[in-house]
Order: sequence, then structure tokens, then C-alpha cells
Amino acid sequence: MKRALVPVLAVVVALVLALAVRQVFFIAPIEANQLYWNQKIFYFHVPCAFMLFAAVFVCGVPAALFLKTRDPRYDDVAAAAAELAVVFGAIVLGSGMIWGKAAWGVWWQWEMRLTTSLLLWLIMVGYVLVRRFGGAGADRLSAGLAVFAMVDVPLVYFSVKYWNFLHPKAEVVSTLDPSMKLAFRLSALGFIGLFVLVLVTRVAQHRGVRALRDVRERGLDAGILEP
Amino acid sequence: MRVETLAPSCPADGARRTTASVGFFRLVAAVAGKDVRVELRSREILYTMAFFAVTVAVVFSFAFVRDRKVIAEAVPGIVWGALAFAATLGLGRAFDRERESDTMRALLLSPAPRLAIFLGKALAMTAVIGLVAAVIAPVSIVLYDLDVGRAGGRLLLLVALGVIGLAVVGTVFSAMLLRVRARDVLLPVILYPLLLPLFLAATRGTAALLSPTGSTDEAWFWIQFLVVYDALFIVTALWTFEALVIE
Amino acid sequence: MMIVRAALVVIALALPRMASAQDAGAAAPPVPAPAQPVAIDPPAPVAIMPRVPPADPVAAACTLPPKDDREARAKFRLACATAIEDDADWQADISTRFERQEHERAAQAIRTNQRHVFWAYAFIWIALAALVGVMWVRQQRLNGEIARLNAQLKAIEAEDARRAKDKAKDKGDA
Repeated sequence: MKRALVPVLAVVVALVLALAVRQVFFIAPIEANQLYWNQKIFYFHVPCAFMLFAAVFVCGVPAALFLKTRDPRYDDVAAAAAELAVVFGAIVLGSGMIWGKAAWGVWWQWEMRLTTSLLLWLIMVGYVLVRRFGGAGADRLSAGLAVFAMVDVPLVYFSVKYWNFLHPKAEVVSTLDPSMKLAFRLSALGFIGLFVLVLVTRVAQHRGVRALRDVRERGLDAGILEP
Repeated sequence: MRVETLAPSCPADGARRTTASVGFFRLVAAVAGKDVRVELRSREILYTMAFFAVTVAVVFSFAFVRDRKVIAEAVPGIVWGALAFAATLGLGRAFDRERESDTMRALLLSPAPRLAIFLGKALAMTAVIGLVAAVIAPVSIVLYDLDVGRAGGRLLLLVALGVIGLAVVGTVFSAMLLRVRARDVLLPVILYPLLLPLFLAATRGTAALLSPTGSTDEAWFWIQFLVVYDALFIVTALWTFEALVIE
Repeated sequence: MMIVRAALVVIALALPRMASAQDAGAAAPPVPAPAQPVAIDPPAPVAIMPRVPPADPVAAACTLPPKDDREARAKFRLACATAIEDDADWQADISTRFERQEHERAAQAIRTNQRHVFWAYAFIWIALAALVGVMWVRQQRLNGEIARLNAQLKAIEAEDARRAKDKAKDKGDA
């Protein structure tokens, strides 16, 4: 059952995303107040932002468990989630900047959602850098960072919120046309599926790398393998 | 300093418990005291940090001068930025000393609980960074012609909270990075994104307190925010420190 | 010694200042400050063609008051708005009149935004494709490493088997 998980999930996710794209571009109406076509970016941009937040927690919780139990499987999950956070964060920031250029005329503005995403993204990039260049104890180090990052999320949210910004009203979803809501939900579902899919695959890769390293070390220790 | 609360049935246990709790804080004070005394003796880190902070502040001031005065809105940012850079420098250097003389291992091998060591070190770093802030403050009051009188107490509170947050988070991570080769570059990489909400709150609070149009409500909000920030991170640091530093 | 030196330096710096201050005070006669240019308001714009209300009273009622007369403008607009609300034909006429402009404006906005939406989605798909690509490359590398390890192990096993066979052969001979 487990072996079939990834291919089946991949097919399902592809279908859902295809449906979502069709819904977004052919069925959902154009928002006629001020955003027009630009609003269509939200169907992908917002789910990616959810995924960024989710990834920070999916990274932080296993990191805390790893620190407590030293089970390397938790560390695999944390590392994979952090990489995903970097990717989804980049997507959020990139699409947000393109949207911003169309809507405000500038590539960047220090407004609430963009700034929060930027801060979280920077922390996760720090995680990846520490993992890469941290030497021997890098997994512990990055796990500590991830725990602090998880605690930091509400602090970042509230500090940026009360910095006084303008952003299209937060309740975009509830005032939507039903076909828009469907597009939004489909795309959210698709991205959750994609997140899980990539996470599972990446965790398997990390595990493979670790198992390989262990086997090599055992072989070297036993004198069987040459370095 | 043994408190006479011995239970009649198990005198030994009672005595151990009370000495342990009193001993903990004595250990914290001992570690903190040692660090501060070592630092005050040579004053190397203190002088270099303070001078670095002032230099950075001056460099940034040149960027924001208009009509021979520094733009008032830029001042909190300049001051806290300078403090941040100096703190990173000092944190790296403080633990360098531990590593060079290999006292960290000795400290960790001692029967003192890790928590006490962490709290002692964090306290010492707070004192050092606080001293640097005490140097920057009059310098910036003079350089930027700041009018502090009205809001002096609250400003002091704000700066104290900011320094505590800086010191606690910085201590955790620079202790973790003790034996890492790339520590000089990784410490800022790790520290600054985590500390951004602290800097945001500190600069906004400072701006609210110093500007004639700033509202005291805003200042109090940011002070409370810093209290929450410091509390959350102190708790997190206490939870994770044991697991993170095992040299 | 240091204090004496410092004092000498201070005095050396201060003396010329004091000297020049005295000189300036004594020698220079008071010079009146140059007269500041007096600010003259630019003359009020004179209308080249004085605004004469047209003779026709209907046209007169519909003449837009000048821009700076805000109150008159507001009253005018209010009067027109109530008149339009009462007259359905006029409303229809107005909407057809301005429909084309609205349409053009919306179409232009859509045309610019379309480009941005396209680029945003393109960026998202490219980023996701890059993610999959990187993972694929890593997986290939992993497979290669496993294959190499397997090959090494196989070589060692073959070596051991050969040695064991040789030893058995020697034993058999002896």
C-alpha cells in the first residue's frame, strides 16, 4: 500500500491541479471591482502562502521531537519540510511581487503579508544554509533554529500586522462568487496534495542518503570498503 | 546558605532539595559573575563592541543626512542596527574566548546543570550588551539631538527588553555554533531573521517615544510585545538548550 | 607634564580666536545686512475673454461653475444628479454615452494585467518544475552511489570467493 502511495497521489494531484487551472481560467468570472485579471493570481498565490506557513510548522514540530529523542527520522522530515518552505516561500514572494507590480506599480512594498512571508522565508533559508555549512552537528543546529522559527511565527505575524499596512482585505475568500470559491478550494487541495507528495518523496531521499552513509561507514569501519 | 526546613522523617532529602534550589541561582550568579569579571578585566570585547557600534552609527548617519541633520525617522533604525551588529560581534567573540581556552568543555563537564550555565551566560551577555547600549545612548543623544527627558523611563525599559531578547537568543545560538567552522558567518544568518520582530518592535517603540507626535499607546504596545517576545524565547531557550549544546 | 602640555595646546588654539574676535569687534564698522528681496505676489490672472453667461436660460442653467467655486460646483452637481435620477431616458442615454469609455478603460486594465498573470503563473510552474528537477537529479545521484557501492561489494565478494577457491585448491593439492 505504501509503495503505491506516491504514484497514486501524483496522479490525483495532477488531476486536481488541472481541474483547478481549468476552473480558474475558464469558469471563474473576472473580478470586476479593481483587480480584474490580476485577481486570478490569488488562486495559486494564497494556497502557496498557506503551504509556507504549514511547512514552517511541519519543520518545527519534528525538529523539536528530534531534539528530544534524537531519532534521525524526525530530522529527515524537518529537513524536507524546510526545503519545501523555501520553495513555496519563493513562489509566494515571486508571485506576490508580480501581482504587486501590476496592482501598485512597484515590485515591492512593505505591506503585511509580503513582509511576513519574507521574514519566514529568510529564517527557512537560514535553516537550509546551516544544514549545508554547519559541519558535523548541523542537524542539531538547524533543528534548534526550526524550533525557534516555529515560536517566532506568531511574533512575526503580530509585529508586522501592527506596523500599519494596507493589503487587500483579508476576507477575500468569504465574499467570493461560488465558482471562484470552487477554484480556490480546488487549487488549495491541489497544493496540499503537492506538498504532501513532494514531502514524502524528499523524506524518502533523505532517508536513502542517510542509510547509504551508514552503510558506507560500516563498510569502511569493517575494512571492507575503500574510501 | 541552608534554610532550616528539614522534614523530621527524611532530613537528608529535605536538605538536598533546599540546597539544590538555592545552589542553582548561586551557580547562575557564579557563571555570570565570572564572565562579567573576565570581561571587565580586559575590557577587550567591551571597547571593541562599543567603538564598533558608534562607528556603524556614524556610517549610517552619513547615509541619512539632509540639511546637515540626520533624518529624524531614521534615527531609531540607525541606533538599533548599530546595536545589533555590535551584539553579533560581541557574541561571537565572547564564545571564542571559551573555545580558545577550552573552558566550555570544563564548564559542561562540571556538575552544574546546563540550565544554570545557560542562564549565567545569558545574564553576562545581557550585561555586556547593556553596557554597549549605555555607551551608544549618550552618543546618539548628542549626535542626533534627541529629546529624551519626557520618555526616559519607558525608553530605558524598552532598551532593556530589547537587549535581553538579543542576549538570550544570541547566547543560545552562539553556544550552539561553538565548534562549527563557519560560525562567524552563520551566527548573523541565523540570528537576524529570528530577531527581526524584536528590531521591528524596538525601532517602532523608540520612534514612538522619541518623536513629538508619537503616541504613548503605541509605545506601550511595543513594550508589551517585547515582554511577550522575551518571555517566549527565554522559555524556548530553556527547553532546547540542554539538547542543543552537548559538547 | 601631560596636563601642562594639554593646557599649552588649549591656550595655543584659543589665543588666535580671542585675538580675531577682538579685532572683529573693534575694526569692522557695522554693515547693514543686504536688503532681502521683497516677495511680490504674481498678478491675478486676468481672463482674456471675460466669462459672459449665454443669453439662453437653459444653457445658462447648465453652465459649469468655475473650478475654484467649490460650493457652486457641488450644488450644480447635486442638481444634475437629482435630475438624472428622475429621468430614465437620460440615464439610458448617459450610460450608452460613457459605456464605450468604461469598456476601453477596463479592456486596457485587463490587457496589462493579463501579462502579469501569465508571468506569475509561469513563474510558479517553473519553480515547481525546478523543484521536481532538482529532486530527480538528487535521486539519480543517489542511485549512482548505490550502484557504485554494490559494485564495490560485488568485487570484494568475488575476490573473497576467488581466494577461498585458491585456498581450497592448495589444500586439495597438498
